[in-house]
Formats: sequence, C-alpha cells, structure tokens
Amino acid sequence: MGQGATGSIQGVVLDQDEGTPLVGARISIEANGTELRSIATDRNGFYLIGGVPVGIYVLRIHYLGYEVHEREVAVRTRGVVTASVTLSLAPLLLEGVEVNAVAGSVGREMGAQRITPGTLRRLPTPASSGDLANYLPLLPGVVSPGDRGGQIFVRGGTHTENITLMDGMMVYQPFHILGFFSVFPENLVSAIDFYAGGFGARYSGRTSSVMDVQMRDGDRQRYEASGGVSPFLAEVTIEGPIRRGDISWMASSRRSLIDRTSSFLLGDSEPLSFESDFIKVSSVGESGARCSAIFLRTKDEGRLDREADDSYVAWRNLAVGGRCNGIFGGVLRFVEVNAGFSSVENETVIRGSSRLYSNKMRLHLELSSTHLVHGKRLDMGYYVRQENMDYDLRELFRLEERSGGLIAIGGFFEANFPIGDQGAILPGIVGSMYPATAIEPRLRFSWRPTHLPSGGLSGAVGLYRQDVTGISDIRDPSSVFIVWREVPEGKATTSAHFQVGWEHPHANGVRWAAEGYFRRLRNVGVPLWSVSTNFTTDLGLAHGKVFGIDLRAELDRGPFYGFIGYGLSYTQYESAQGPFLQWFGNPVQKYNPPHDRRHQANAIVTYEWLGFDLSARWQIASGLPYTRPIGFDESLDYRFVIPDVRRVFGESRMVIERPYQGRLPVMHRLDLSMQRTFDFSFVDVDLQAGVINAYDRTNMFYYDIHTQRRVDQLPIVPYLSIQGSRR
Amino acid sequence: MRRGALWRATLLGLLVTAGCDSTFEPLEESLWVYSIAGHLDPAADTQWVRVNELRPTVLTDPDPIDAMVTLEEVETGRTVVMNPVLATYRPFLDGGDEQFAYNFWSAEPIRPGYSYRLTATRSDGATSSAVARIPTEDFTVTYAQWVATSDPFKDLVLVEGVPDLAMVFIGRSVNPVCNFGSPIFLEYQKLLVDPSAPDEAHVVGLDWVSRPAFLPPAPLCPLGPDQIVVVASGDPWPYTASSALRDLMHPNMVGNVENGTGYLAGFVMKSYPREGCTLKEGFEEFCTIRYGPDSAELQLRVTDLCTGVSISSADIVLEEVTGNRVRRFGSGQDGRLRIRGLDPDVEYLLTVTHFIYGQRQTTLTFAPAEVRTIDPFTIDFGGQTPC
Repeated sequence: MGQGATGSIQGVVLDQDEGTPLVGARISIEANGTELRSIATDRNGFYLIGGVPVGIYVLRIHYLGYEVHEREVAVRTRGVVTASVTLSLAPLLLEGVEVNAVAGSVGREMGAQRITPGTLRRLPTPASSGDLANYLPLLPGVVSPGDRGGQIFVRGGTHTENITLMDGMMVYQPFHILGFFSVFPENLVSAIDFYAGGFGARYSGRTSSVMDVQMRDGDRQRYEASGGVSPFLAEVTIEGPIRRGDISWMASSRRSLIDRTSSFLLGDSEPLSFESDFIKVSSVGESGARCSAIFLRTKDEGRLDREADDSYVAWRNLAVGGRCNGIFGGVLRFVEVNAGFSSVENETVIRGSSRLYSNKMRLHLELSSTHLVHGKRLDMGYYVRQENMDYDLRELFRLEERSGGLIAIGGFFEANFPIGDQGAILPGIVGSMYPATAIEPRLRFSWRPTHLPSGGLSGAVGLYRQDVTGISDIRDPSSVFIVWREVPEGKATTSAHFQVGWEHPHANGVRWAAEGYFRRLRNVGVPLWSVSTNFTTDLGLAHGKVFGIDLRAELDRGPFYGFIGYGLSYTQYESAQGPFLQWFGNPVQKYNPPHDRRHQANAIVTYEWLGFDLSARWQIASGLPYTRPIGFDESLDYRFVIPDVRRVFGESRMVIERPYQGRLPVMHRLDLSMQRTFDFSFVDVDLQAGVINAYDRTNMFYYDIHTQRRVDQLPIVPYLSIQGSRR
Repeated sequence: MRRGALWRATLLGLLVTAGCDSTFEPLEESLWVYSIAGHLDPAADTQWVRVNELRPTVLTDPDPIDAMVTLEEVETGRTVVMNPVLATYRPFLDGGDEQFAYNFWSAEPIRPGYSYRLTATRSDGATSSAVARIPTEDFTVTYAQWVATSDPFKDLVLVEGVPDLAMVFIGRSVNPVCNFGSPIFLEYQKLLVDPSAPDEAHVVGLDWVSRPAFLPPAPLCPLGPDQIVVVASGDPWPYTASSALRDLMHPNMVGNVENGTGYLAGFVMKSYPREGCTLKEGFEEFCTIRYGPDSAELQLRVTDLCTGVSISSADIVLEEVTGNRVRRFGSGQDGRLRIRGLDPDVEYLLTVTHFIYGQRQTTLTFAPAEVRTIDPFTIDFGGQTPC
C-alpha cells in the first residue's frame, strides 16, 4: 500500500474539569475488533498516529481513573483526523478505580518513568500530601544525602546536572531544605516524566537526568479549596474558573512548621524553614489549544547543623513564564511555545565567615513542533537561552567577586520509527550554535516481544553537554551552597550515556525490571583540591566513569502493593591537578566523589484495610565517601615575607593523605503511616498518622570534619496530619 | 509455601543487614604528633618557633600543651629547653573567635654554618623533630642594574655561596604595625632563578610584588630607604613565589618535620642599600655592585674645613679611575655616608661637591674587607677661604 493510501489520526487528551493534559493516556485504533495500533499521549497529552491505512476505525482512549472514550473515525487518503477529547473522571462508585491514576515504580516508557500523584501518595510522608522529594530517593540510582539539604544525585551525576522543569520552566533548586519536600507536592502535579538517563533530544543543557513536571491546572468548572497541616508544614490551595469551562486559576502556598514544632516534637530545635508560593492560570480552547502561565517563588533557609550558630545557608527560587500549545493544520501537527524567566539565589555563612552568595538567572524562549513525515513522527525545536551568573566569595584576606553570562542557541530533532506495534527507534540530535558549535547525537529504542503486553527491551545511547556548572565544596558533603559559573577553561562538561534494560510483567501482578548503565564523563568541574579550610571556587577538571545496575520489582494486586528496588552504582572521578605529583607522587588522582553511594535498597508495602491505607517504607543505603583528616594545624606563608609566629596565626589546614578515603556509616530507616479519608457532605477530610524513623535509628547526615561533630538525621518523629478539601 | 519462605528470607536478610553497622572512625590514624612552624635566625636575639599538637578539629583552645621542646646544636650537641608561651590571635577582618597557639622561645644564640634540631616530646614519649641548617654568612651578592631604566624590572641579583635562596626582594623598612606585622614593605620580589646557574649560585630577576600595597599615610608610617634583602637558606627552600599557597599547604609539599607536620626554616637574612650605579660609557648594559666577604667599605663624614660643621646634601661621586662604573650618593643630615660594595685593589676617584663649598677630589684604593673611615672629609668654602 503506497503512502497515498494512508492517513493519520491526531489529537489532544485533556482532563474535562481542569483541562490538564492527560500524559500517558493509551490511544488505540481497532478494526473489526482487532487492535491495530496503540500509542500513548506525550507530555502535552498529544498523540499522533501516522501511516494509518485508509478505512474506518474505532478510536479508543483510555486513562486509568477516567471514563473510556470511544468513537468511530474515518481515515481518508492523506487525510488527517483530529480527535481531541476531554475525559471525565470515572464515577467513584466503580470499585477499584482511583481518582488519581497510579503508575507503578517499575514500568517505563522510552526511558521515562511516569510518576503520578497517586504514586507519590503511596509513601509515608509527614504532611497532608505526598511529595516528589520523598519519592525520588526510592528509585535505584537516585541518591539523596539524607532528610535535609535538598540535593538529588542521579546515577553518578551531581545535583547541578539535573534538569528540573515545571511546565517547561527551569527550577534550579526544587527540593526544600527539609528533604521530604519539594515544590512538587502531590496535589499540584499532574504527571512527572523522570529520566534517570538516556533522555531524548528535547532536553538539553544538562548531563545527568530530567524531571519534567506537568503541573495541574485549576478546576475550570468549580471553585475548590483544600488545606492541610502537619507538624512539618501547612499548606493551602484554592482554585476555580475565571471563565467557566475555559480559563482557570490555581494558587497554592506552603509554609514549613518544623522550626516551630520541633522543640515540642523532637526536644531540640530544628532551625530549618521553607516556604513556597505557586500560581497558575490556564486556558483551554475548543480545539484543545492550551495556554498557561505560572509563577513560583520559594525560600529556604536554616542551619543544617543546628548547633552551628555561626553558619547558615539559604536559597530562593523564582520562576515566571508561560507556554502555549495546540494542534495546527498543515505540516505543523503540534506546536508549543515556551518562554520565561528562572533564577536562584544562594547565600551562606560558613563558620562565621563573611556572607557568600551566588546567583543565577535564565531567560529562555523555546519553540517546538511535531510533524508527520512519511508517516513517521518528527519532533523538532529551537531554543535561545540567556544565562547570567554572579557570585561573591569573601574570605579572610581574600576577595573574590565574579560575574558572567552566556547565550545558548540551538535546536533539536527527534524522529520516531515504529517497529511494527512492538516498539520504536528514536534517533535524535541536539545541535548548538552558541556558545559552541556542537552536536549531541542520541538514540532511544524499545522493543516488546509479542507475548508480553508491555515492557520488554529498552535502551538509550547518547551524548549530553553542559556549558555552565554548579559547584559546591566537595570536601564538605553537607554543603548545599552552590556556585554557578561557566565551565572551566571553556571546556563543556559532557557525558556519554549507555543504558539497556528489560522489563517483564507477569500475569499474577508481579512486574520486574533490570537496567544496566554506563556513563563516561568528561570535563566535570570540580573544586581544586586543597587542604585549606577556606572555601574555594577555583575549578579543576575531572573525567569519570559511572556504572551500575538498577533492579526493581513490584506486586500490585487487590489491596496489596509492594515494591522493592536495589541499586548498585560505582562512580569514579579522575582528575589531574597541578600539585598532585608533588603531593601524591602521581599527577592524576582517582577518587570516589562524595555522592558515590555504592548500594541502596528500598522497599514499600501498602495495604488497604477496613478503609485505611496502611503504608510502610524501609530504606537502607551504604555510606557516602568523605575525607578522613589526620588532624589540623596552621600553615605559615614564607613566599614573600618572613612571618613572625608571635603576630601571624597562619592559615588553618586539614592535614590529609588522600581525599575520600573514609565512608560514613550505613543508613537505614523505616517510615510508617496510616491514612483514611472521611467524606462529609460539606468537606472531605484526610487523616494520616505516621512515624518517621520508626525504630529510631541514628543515621548520620554528615560529619563536620572541621569541628569533628556529627550531624544526624531526624530521630523517631511521630506525626499526625489532616487535610480538608471542599468544592 | 515457597513464596512465604522467600519473604521470610528477604525480611531476615534485611534485618541482618540493618543490624550490621560499619564502624565510623572520623580521623585517620597517623604517627604524626606535633606541628612545627617557624624559623631560626642568627640575627635575632630570641628565637620563636610554633609548636602545637596536631589537633582533631580546626578549632583551637587555650588548654595547656603536653610538650617539652628542646633545641640542639647538632654539631656540638649543646641543647637548651625552649619556653612555651600561649599566644592569642584575633581574626583580622571577620571578628571571629580568638585563636590560640603555643610559641616556644629561646635566647640561645644561633650560629651561621651550624645545624639545629628542634624536638618536641610528649609525656608518653612520642616525639616530632625537625632539623634546620643555617647557612654561612660569607656569601656574595651582586646587584646588576640595567642602566637604561631606573625601574628594577631588568635588574638581576646574583647570589653565590649559599645552598639555596629563600627570598630576594626590594623593600623599605617600616613600622610593623603599619604593615600587617612585617617590618619591610615589599616593592619588588624574586621572580625567577636561572636554573642554568652553577651550584650555590642563584640568578634572580625582580618583579612587582603582587599583593595589594596599602600603607597609612607617610606621616604615620614613614618608609626607610630602598633595600635589597637577601634571605639565604641552609636547606633547599620549599616555598616558591609562583606557587599558590593552597598548593604549598599540603603536608607532602612543604615539610621537614619527622613524625609531624610543618616546616622549620633556617636562614640568614642580609640587606644592602639599593644605590644608583651608572656607566661612563654604554647604556644598554648592566652596572654591577658586588657585596662579598672581601668587599671594602667607606665611611665618610663631610665637614666644613674651618668650622668642622657637618655638611649635608653634598653630592658624592665614586668612580673607577680605570674602570667604567660610577656611583653617586648624597651626604645625610649629619654629613655622613656609608658606601659598601667596593671592590678591593681598584682605584677610585672620590669627588665631593657642594653648590656653596665647591668641590674636592681624592683617589682611594682599598684592601680586601677593609672598612675605611674618613672623618672628617673636609671641604672649604670656595676652596680658598682662610679659616
């Protein structure tokens, strides 16, 4: 059958009340009762099925928790059938159907793990709603230093090599200073695509991972308010229509309470606080065209070591922007325009030093489109980003102040070559014109044996590039103060990803997956190693390698859900720095950086029992590397003058042999929760009781090697949270 | 049944794993006991050396130190016990906490050409020690001025007869209070050493001092005349001006302490006046002044022939009769002048001129290491006024 005898079907699938795109909705076309093709909606709820032979088909659109939509479509020669639909929630009377769709923690599609609000809700979280920050460390290959600090490391990458997008807007430090929480609580997100690596050409500018978060729209039909409180935070969300059925708004505000409740709850003050405010306005047109604008501001501050009165760290995020997308005619099947401003301000005082700060801001304009070429889907786009950075580091007898900026201009394309109905190959390229001419080739693929309903083989290979780097003092694993600057020596950080995995569903509800990965790192900016106890931002370069394997299994059957995951990861940096030859007898040193968590395992069990949702989470992880000092003394400077020991104290130094020879102890923790929803006529109430660190394990967050003081994670913390919502 | 067993085994495995806890030893074991820092200087009447226990934290405290520190002259075995003093330091800018350190002192004379071993002993017998070698003082310094410019960028300093050079710089004496505790305000410093020079010979170029030069106004902190300061080390000098302090701080980079950290330096510091030197003929050339053990010295006081009153601001020129070099000076407020770096067995023409008194000339030849005093060196008004 020639090209002229086929047509295509496209559309956008949205939630009827909110207008939010339903990401991952399953679209299938059937003829004579036989499913011919099936596809999932993308991050915009858009789907495009090309190369459909002329004929009449049943189009079936299915999304868990929503009513199934079916219609008949007639595909004509070279015709384009646009079938955009809004799905309404399935009646709650239907047994076993949740309002929030729940994606598992094993299944992935083209490298993306789809995380839904229902998934976040499964974990014991000391708040009235689940949170992405609490969920991510569950995944093998994702390392969180502990229950504070706001850092996530993915498969050997640093926390500044992740892309975190909120409706397409970059959020630099999305995780709050208290590690359970982020700017992505369960009740605000619609869907999250998380790529631990091997992400497609749509994403550029970072080398490690992608968290692409689609925020929920406000309700277009009704006003709704909800609020919750726990010992850790209080939150309130209100939403409603601006023009019923078309335009909606949503505003949410969250404030931490732990700094006020900790004295009562823990016996000690936890000087950690955060707040965030989020506003979204969105509109949906008749054809499914959408426009939305968001505003986000956050503020985190506190002392990670509560006894260190002379230290603190703070950061503030700001993101403002908007995007529009929709189906167009002609060769442009789907177009998205995204523009906005993001910034982050960091500041810290380290052991009574002067205030240090580092700021970063970014303006961006991105245009992407989807085409159908010879029956194959082709995504392409262009971007212009202006990034400015400045920082000021003052030390005793030292002043360092710099600023800089760069413009990044480039584009991407990614084609989709289906392998029948069993998989696809997606080659893509990111091409940048500025600040350097560079090509990042990428390839993703998936293949499913016919006897499997889902899963199968998947993999990715690609090159990833980053022209700005964020560094923190790697000698101090607790340091969350990040200095953003251009890559040293103008050499961009690159990472080559190789990964391949297998996912296998069983009829009895068990699903397991295994994925191996390897990364080759080039030109990672690392602070020059120094025994000086002062902060430094002078950068050196390191090469590195990362390899590991992720194993996951889950069982989802009836009221029971269980998940277990194990991650083995090995990260090694190799750096050549000037004095290494004199220090160690070898100009090149290899070491495991402080985020090299070798083993970690997580287990979750949830059970619905007499209307209660019982949940337990247990995690265990090997210790992170740190530098074991031999001791401390002062070094005198005889380079220019003869110092008099009676007048000159000297510069304090940490006497070491080699960096990162020690490891912090193993951490493990059990969290429990019990939750129940009560439906009253005027309000729905969620009650949750739980306990963090149920057996009161003393887990070390970090060890201050300068003062020989250990800073522990939270002890046993019982909590009670309540959330109410009213329509 | 099998599934139940699997779950039980998994649970048991997790619990066993959870129960295992790796021990946490924050500090790395080492035989290093003390940190020693400072220097021995024969010119000083009291020697001060920092000795402290290698402490477990960056924080300091004023607790008593468990150390007995001795200083031994290696060649003779003569040993003295040094005396501890707890010193308190306050951060200069940040206003942070006070810092404490123990400095040990001794009034024992330090002799050039000898080696000294400093030993710190803990009550349990653990010791750290360092040996510093003091070079002899009879080294030669030749200052070669590039005549074409008055700035010393192209000037060279040749130092012969010392194992190593610690520092060479040009600076002015100043009250240490005005200058971050240092008695010399640096202007130029050692730039490089010619690696092709023979053993114990060091050729040094000069460059601006890179650190910020800040001084209170002159009335508060007057500066002395330019000096060439040469610090000769008895041991290979580990501090290079071109290295970052951050790099030098690693204990494997700079250190001569056995069973400990730090560096005990031994050196001889000598200073010479930076005086003008020109050539009768030639421009793009060096004019050299040599300061060696055999160099002669002239001490002069210019006075009025009739009254004996000292005459200041007299122009004094010392030129080689058969050679090419010319050195120019001015007499001080008391009419005095000290000229060093005179080559022996060379005939000099000394010319003293004053715009009122007129001029007087004489020829001089010096013996090796001779110090000749001409006091008074008289000139008379107009050269003919009777007293």
